[in-house]
Formats: sequence, structure tokens, C-alpha cells
Amino acid sequence: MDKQTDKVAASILVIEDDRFIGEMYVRSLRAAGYKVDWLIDGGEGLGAASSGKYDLILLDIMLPEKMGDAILRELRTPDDRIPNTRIIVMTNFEQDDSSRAATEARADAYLIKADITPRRMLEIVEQVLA
Amino acid sequence: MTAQAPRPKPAESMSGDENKINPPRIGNFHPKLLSRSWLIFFVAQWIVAGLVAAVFVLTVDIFSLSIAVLISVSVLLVIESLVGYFLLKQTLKPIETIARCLIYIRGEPSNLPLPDRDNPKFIKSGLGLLLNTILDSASQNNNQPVTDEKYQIYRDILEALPVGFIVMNPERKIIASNSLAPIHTAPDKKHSIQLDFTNTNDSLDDWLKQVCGNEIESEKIWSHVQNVAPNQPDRRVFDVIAHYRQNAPNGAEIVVVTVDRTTEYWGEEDNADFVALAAHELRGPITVIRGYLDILEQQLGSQLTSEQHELIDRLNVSAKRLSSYVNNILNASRYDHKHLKLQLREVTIDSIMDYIKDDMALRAKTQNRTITWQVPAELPTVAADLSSISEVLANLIDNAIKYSHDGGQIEITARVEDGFVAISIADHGVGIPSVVASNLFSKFYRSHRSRDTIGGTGIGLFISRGIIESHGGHIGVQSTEGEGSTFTFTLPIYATVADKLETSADNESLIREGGSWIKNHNRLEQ
Repeated sequence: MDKQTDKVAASILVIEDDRFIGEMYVRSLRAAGYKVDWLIDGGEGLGAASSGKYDLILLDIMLPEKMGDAILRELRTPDDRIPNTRIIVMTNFEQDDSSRAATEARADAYLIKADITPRRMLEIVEQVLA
Repeated sequence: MTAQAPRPKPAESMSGDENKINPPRIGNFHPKLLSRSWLIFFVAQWIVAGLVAAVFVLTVDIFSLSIAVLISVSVLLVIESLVGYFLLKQTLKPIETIARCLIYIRGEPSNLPLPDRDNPKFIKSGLGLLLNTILDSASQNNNQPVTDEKYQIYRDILEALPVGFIVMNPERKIIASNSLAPIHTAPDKKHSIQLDFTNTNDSLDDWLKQVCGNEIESEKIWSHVQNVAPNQPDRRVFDVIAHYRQNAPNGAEIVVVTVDRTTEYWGEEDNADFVALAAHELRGPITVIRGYLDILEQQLGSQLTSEQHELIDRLNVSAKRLSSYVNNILNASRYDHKHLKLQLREVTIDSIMDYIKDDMALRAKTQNRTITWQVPAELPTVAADLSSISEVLANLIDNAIKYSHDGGQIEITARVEDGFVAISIADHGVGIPSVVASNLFSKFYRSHRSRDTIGGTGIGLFISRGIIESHGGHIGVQSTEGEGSTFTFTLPIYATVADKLETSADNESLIREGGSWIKNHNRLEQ
């Protein structure tokens, strides 16, 4: 990825179906100066994510139309379709061992939303984009 | 049978006139075979000679004598080679029958049926008695199923077993199986065991490669083996027991027993899935409450009165506690289903304390308690899963806050004790009657008194014990009713267990934080 990308200009796609949670992250990310798009639907999310125009994707797992782990699989295998995009899986769903291993192989971070405040989320976003 | 053997006992069933004239004896077999073969050979030779003579007579008038001889000899050779094959096949037929019988006794795979030893032709020639003698003595010597009826009984028993049963020879060819065995038949009719060992440490094939020829006898058990990959129909899950015995009778060296555990295992998984889904639903609102509190605090921080700050703190503490409860429930469910996985690594006692210190201090402050941390500087490192141990410590401090009096003090201490580091959490609260102390660590157990006065589920101590025991440590309590309680848990000193811990480069590349992780790209790219 282009590590020289200015943090303020970095563009982020949030794929999150919970309105309150989505709004909360979008609000915090925009306040921190990021360009943010927000999609609710997993199918649309995959389409937008495939474009490769984002520096970072915040991806929920339990999504309508297409689950986040399926999106992750399609984006990262067999060839990495978006090598310049980091992906943070943010979920409240506790995965089983096999999906956990699959996520570890493909995502750049995995966060339990209930354990992370927006402030901590911003720190991690900054760390992952660094 | 030897020549000295006692006279064969004529079977009662063979008392017909025919048998009186010509009683069956194995001794008859060879002379009869010889005379029959000779008769066939003699007749055939005369026919061949006649044919060749005819050819000679017909050709000698047309060609010269030498050409006629040449043609006749050629015809002789062609006819002899064809007739010879037919003659040998006929005369060696009894040998083939005996061979089929022996193939059956050896248990070699064969499409040919067992010869009918009651065939009247066999009885007359003595072959029937020969077959009976071979089969009966094999039955006595090897205790093998030798008659169709007996064989059928064994087949029926195998079919009635509630497990799959597969027998393979040293070449790994399936020589027997029942219908419950997970066997795949390829279009070319080749049978193979249909089990997917990709999720296990080693496969049946790997194990057989190790033991076949190298060991006299060996056994291995696998659990949770699926027959097909996920997303395929008719997916089942098995426990598999494989047994190898070198030079076993009948070539049955490898025996594989499969126990279909689909209902039990996937029933369990359904249950665990339900807990995961329920946790997901609970965590949604917790995320929103914690998130917006964080945002509100940031935006209003300077305008809030100290009382309002206090209220925000209480909300924060409560939301965080709720989040810990959900983690407790998830861990308890994993522990119940033996899915609790710990990442043991070298950690300092300070790092465990630091992980939760701020949260706990806030939690104590909102309930007017104080916590003192007395941890000696020179403590050795321990082998622990940081986030799980922090949950244990948080659970114990939470209890100490709950069961102590307003303004009370909670003391956290640590010391070395017989290869372990012991961490104690002491309060000066209500204490626990000695009769209930032993039940404290059971799931959902709460003492009679506390049930009415203090909230909680009783799951915290249960999962705390699970986590500590999974570390190889112990947890216990000393308490005096009315004076307070001291909970103590121990963790193994890292140096005492370091060689037993799995180290994985992959783990090193992840920075873990509770259930979350962040990939350490710097390390990965090195």
C-alpha cells in the first residue's frame, strides 16, 4: 500500500448493518479527518470493496445478503484482489476455530466491537494504516 | 490326512445305494483323476490322429509326399495346441476347485463363490470329501467362518453393529466392511474410505505409513473426523479407531471402526452457536452504549460537573462489566464444550495487573471501595493467557467489591509458592460460611444470602476456575464469615513449563488484546 498516503486523506469503507454502530464509527472517523463511505448491505459492500479505491475497509461479519467472512474470502483469495487495501474485521460475533484461522490469514486486524471504544478504534485504524 | 489315519467314518447321510457300491474316499480322488484324465487324453488323441490321417490322405494325392507330410504335421501342431489347452483345463478342474476353497479359507478377495461340496459329481470322485475335510479342519484350526451359513451369521452380526467396520489387507485394499462404514465407491468400482482428516494432526494414511511393517501391533483414535468437506451434502462426523496388527490371519491387518457422532457433536455445536448468536445480540447495544459514552465524554468533558463525571464513570463501568459478563458466558460455553483455547505465553505479573488496573480502579471508585496493589518487583514471569487471566482477576475483584462494605479496602498481593506465582485478592466484607465455600466454584452457584441481596449470575467463579485449571494452576478461597474472604489463584512460573509450550511464529505476528488482534506488519515484513 502507499504508505505515504496522508492519514487525513485516507479513504475508508465501512460495511456495517447496525445503524447506530455504523453511524458511530462514521462520525468518529470523519471527525478524525478520514474520507468515509458507509454501506449496509454485504453484496453492495463487496462490489465497492473490490474497486480497490479504499485504503482501509472496516468489515462486519453478520451482514445482510453476504456475510463478512465470505466477502473477505472473495477479496483475498486466491489472488489478493485489493493488495493495497487493509481490512479490519469488526464484529461482535465470536467465530469458531476454522473461521478464526481463515480470518487471521486474510484480515489485518480482528476487533470485538463491544470491547473497543471509538477512541481505541481510531488508534488501531491509525496503526493499521501506518 | 495320512495313510495311517483311522478309517474314515462314513457319514450317515451317505448311506444310499450308490454310496454302498462306491463309498466316498479321499483315496479314490487321485486314481480317479488319473484314470479320467487318461481317458480324456486317450480319446482326444485318437480323434486328433484320425483328423491328421484324413488330412494326409486328402493332400497326398494333390501334392508331393513331403508337402503332404508337412501339411499334416502343421495341422497336427495346430490341433494339438488348441486341444491341449482344453484337455488340461478339463483335467485340472478339480485342482481349481480346491484352490477356490483355499482362497475362501485365506479370506483373499475373490468374485468366485465357494465350490458346492455337495455336488454329486464331487461326492462320487472323492473331491467332495476332500473339500469337506479341508474346510472342516480350517474351521477347527482357525475358528474361521467356513460354511456359508456360519459366514452369513458373522455378516449379519457385522451389519447389526452400531458402528462402521472396515477391514483392509496390508496393501490397504478393503477386504470387508459393513454398510455403516463411510466408504466411497469410485466409478471404476474401487472402494476407498471416505474420511476427511484435514482438520486432524495426522491422517489415517500418515499413521498407517508409520506403523505398517514397523510395529507388531498399534492403535490410534481420532475424534471429530468428518466424511466430506463442509458445504457438501450428507456430511457426518465420526470418532475413528484404527487398529493395526502385523501378519493378522486372513490378511486382515488393518481394522478401522467408525462411530457416527454427528448428533452429539453437532448438537453441541448448535448449542455453542446459540450462545455465540446470543452474545452477538447482547454485544450490539453494549457497543453503542460504550461508544456513545466515549464520544459524549470527549465532547462534553470540559463542561461536565464532577457529579456528572461520576455518573458517566458509573455508566462506563457498568457497560464494561456487561461486556465482561458476555465474555464470561462465551468462555463458559467454550469451556463446557472443551473449546476454550488459551494462548499461553511468557507474561509478567505486572502486565496482568496493568491490563485491568485502570478499569478496576474506576470500578472500585464508583462503588466507594479502594484497591491496593502490593506486587513485589522481583517476581518471576508466568505462563499465561493475558486476556483470560485478566478476566479471572477482574471477576475476583468484582466479587470483592460486591461482597465488601461501603468504604472497604481490597488488597491484591502476589508471591512465589512452589514453582507457582500465587495471586490473592482479599476483602474485609461479609465472608463465606465454610459449608458453602466448596460449592462456590460450581456453575450458577450463589450462596443463599447473596441471592437476595446482590446481583450476579454465579458464572464468574465457574469460568475463573476453568481458566485457572486450564493454565495448570489452582484456585481456592479462605474465608471467615463476617470478616472477609481471600481468593487465591496460582499460575505456573514460565521457566518451569517453557519447554512444554508451543511456540508459533504466526502467534508472534499478532498483537492480541482480549478477543481482538492486530497484525504486526512490521514483524511480518521483516
